Amino acid sequence: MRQIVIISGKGGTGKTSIAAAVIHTASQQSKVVSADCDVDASDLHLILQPEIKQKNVFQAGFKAQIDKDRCTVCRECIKVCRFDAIFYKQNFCTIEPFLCEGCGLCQISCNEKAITIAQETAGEWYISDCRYGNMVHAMLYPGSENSGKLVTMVRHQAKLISEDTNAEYIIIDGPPGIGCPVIASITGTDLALAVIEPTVSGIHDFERIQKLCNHFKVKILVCINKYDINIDITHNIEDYCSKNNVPVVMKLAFSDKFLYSQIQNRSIIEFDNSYSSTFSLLWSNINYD
Amino acid sequence: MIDKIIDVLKSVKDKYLNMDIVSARVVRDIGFSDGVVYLTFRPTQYFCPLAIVLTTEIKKKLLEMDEVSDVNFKIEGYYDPERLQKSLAELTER
Repeated sequence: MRQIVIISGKGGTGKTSIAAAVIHTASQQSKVVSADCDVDASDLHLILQPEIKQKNVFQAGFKAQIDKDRCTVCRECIKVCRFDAIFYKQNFCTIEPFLCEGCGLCQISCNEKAITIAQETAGEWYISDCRYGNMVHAMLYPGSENSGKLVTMVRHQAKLISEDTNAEYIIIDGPPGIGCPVIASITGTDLALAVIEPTVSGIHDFERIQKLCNHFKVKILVCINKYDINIDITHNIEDYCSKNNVPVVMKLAFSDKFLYSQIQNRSIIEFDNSYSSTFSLLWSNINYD
Repeated sequence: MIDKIIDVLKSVKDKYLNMDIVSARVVRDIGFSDGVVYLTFRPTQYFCPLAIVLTTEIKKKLLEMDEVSDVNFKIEGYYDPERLQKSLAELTER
């Protein structure tokens, strides 16, 4: 079983559109499990339209809770909170959950034992069926943390499903950036396909993700998306890739068809079959590597 | 005996996923012969930060069973299995 992750460094470069097209192409020839690891803002489900078979709660992190019956409103907790997460409001001490880091200092300071630190429900993860096979995806609640842990859960479940179903590929729609969820998405994968757009931030963020992949010894291939919106920067990307021995395996011209295919919840190949050969070639390159 | 071993393993929790290691299938292929427990350990992540902690807890809990004299780990999907085996061997020596 091979794991292929689609990443970008910068957000909005077309990762999910290309991931959906890669999943479409791969599923024509092999058994595939799709994993949406962009849990902070997942959107692969918009194209794949999965039918949820199993819904699970994701618990991670901690938040303080005040028992108002025990609280004597001494306000000691307000004094010690370093995140300004506790307020005096309408004769009570109240915790703002978006600001609380769950450090537990307020609990220690409370002589009345009115504060408890409870595990937080940070999101949900799902095992689903879609027209390309099994899919694992997740949703992190707004303001919740621990996205790296949720990515780990999504990847772990995808791995278990791929073993149970003898799937040959796990194709991962990764998150943007180089932070914790990205590290959780790329480690241990066989190949990363970086989708770059020819903008200043696009090339800057690609350099960072390329270094991250090198650090974790993940082989990286490049797709330049919307290459015709700035030919000069496209040349710069190609030069950079050439100097760093990173193969550019696909260049896609800007097309509003990507937008309209997403509006219709379809992959670009389903929307316009002329893209089929382009992505078949990309899939051959991915398999070759 | 295998059922008893599985019950003990279920008490070990992968704190990263908030699941017990049997349900999460972090341990598998569990066997028992001549006082030795055989199992395959595969962490959820290639660079799992909990691998040493989890394997140590597994070994300690299994060795607390009267019938168990040793635990033999097969390590899969971890970036440095030799280091993990070494730390487990040191645990036995102690």
